[in-house]
Amino acid sequence: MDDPFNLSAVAMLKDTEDLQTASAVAAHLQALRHWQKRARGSRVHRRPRYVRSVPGRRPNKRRKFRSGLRATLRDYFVLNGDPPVYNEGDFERRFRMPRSVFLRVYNAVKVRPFFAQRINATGRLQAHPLQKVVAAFRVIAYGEAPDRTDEYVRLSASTFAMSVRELMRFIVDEFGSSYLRPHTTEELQRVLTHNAERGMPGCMGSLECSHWQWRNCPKAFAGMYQNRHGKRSVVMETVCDENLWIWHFFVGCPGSHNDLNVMHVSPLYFFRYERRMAAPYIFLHC
Amino acid sequence: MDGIYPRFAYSVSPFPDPPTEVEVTSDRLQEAPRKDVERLYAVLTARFHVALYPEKYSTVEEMIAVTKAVAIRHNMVTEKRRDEYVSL
Repeated sequence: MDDPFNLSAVAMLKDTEDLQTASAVAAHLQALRHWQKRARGSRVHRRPRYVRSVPGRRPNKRRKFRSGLRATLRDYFVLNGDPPVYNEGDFERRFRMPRSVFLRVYNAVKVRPFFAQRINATGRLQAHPLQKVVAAFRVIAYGEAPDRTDEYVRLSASTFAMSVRELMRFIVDEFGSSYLRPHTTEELQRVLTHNAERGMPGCMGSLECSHWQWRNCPKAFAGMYQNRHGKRSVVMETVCDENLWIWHFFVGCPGSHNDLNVMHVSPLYFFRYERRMAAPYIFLHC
Repeated sequence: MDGIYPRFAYSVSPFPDPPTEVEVTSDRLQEAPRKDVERLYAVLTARFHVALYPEKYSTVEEMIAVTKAVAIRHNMVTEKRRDEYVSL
């Protein structure tokens, strides 16, 4: 898929349907067979770590990964040359982001080890990266339970949890340096000019702390993470401007901290304290 | 307004009981920029519903990763929606 905006099914499925795939599967199986032969031939007998298909072991569900991929392609991308069922507005509403942003993340993540399509021991293709990305984004967009999306995307709950975790880590590693960073000088100047027009010269943005509740807080941390409402939570400190661009985001303080404690351990305070900022800029408190 | 913040040179809070016309005007001008971050939290929860619910992760690291990823994706969408912003 050379062109990131090429949405045709052929381009999307190039790595799953053509001869290249068949040869990859064949090579994989060949390697497995070779390995088995070597293992059998050698005198080392290891006890297998996983027990294979024996009575008492719960069988895998026949999920038919491909039907989930086909449904996704049919609804939001292109399948067999037909236009997608849902238009751009639907796409943006359902995934909470424009298609171009989705494709950008998808194209960056699809070659990563967890997301790339794998071949299992029986020579079957496993889930397509598109499914995992769609699944993770739906969980983030709707906050919905994995069982619900299982019906549509056809992945198990554990795969869901893993893809959400992997995708979130990937986004932080890959895009964090460009989308969650301090101002450059020009950007700072632009924000300052804009705020001066609104009547607050020198104002860099508005600052506030918010608590995000933590349901699965371990008992051992219960006291530390308990906020003033008696709920466990983690504090996030944010600075943003009028366009709602987040300039500073600091998360991870236990809920027992108040706004002032958070500010004292926040990088914002340290930068300020070490005079790394050029001039006294103003944060407004809510 | 949060009374907890000290009146440092770089942090500005409204005057609680403005004595003169100058302070009254200053408070009035602050009203709109002060609300920016409140709007941000409203948009974040509306855009990513996962932020509405209590988190279900078992370690703080995972929570930090998810929260940061939500913020990054918010910025990516903001960049797309508002022409003024061009990321590096």
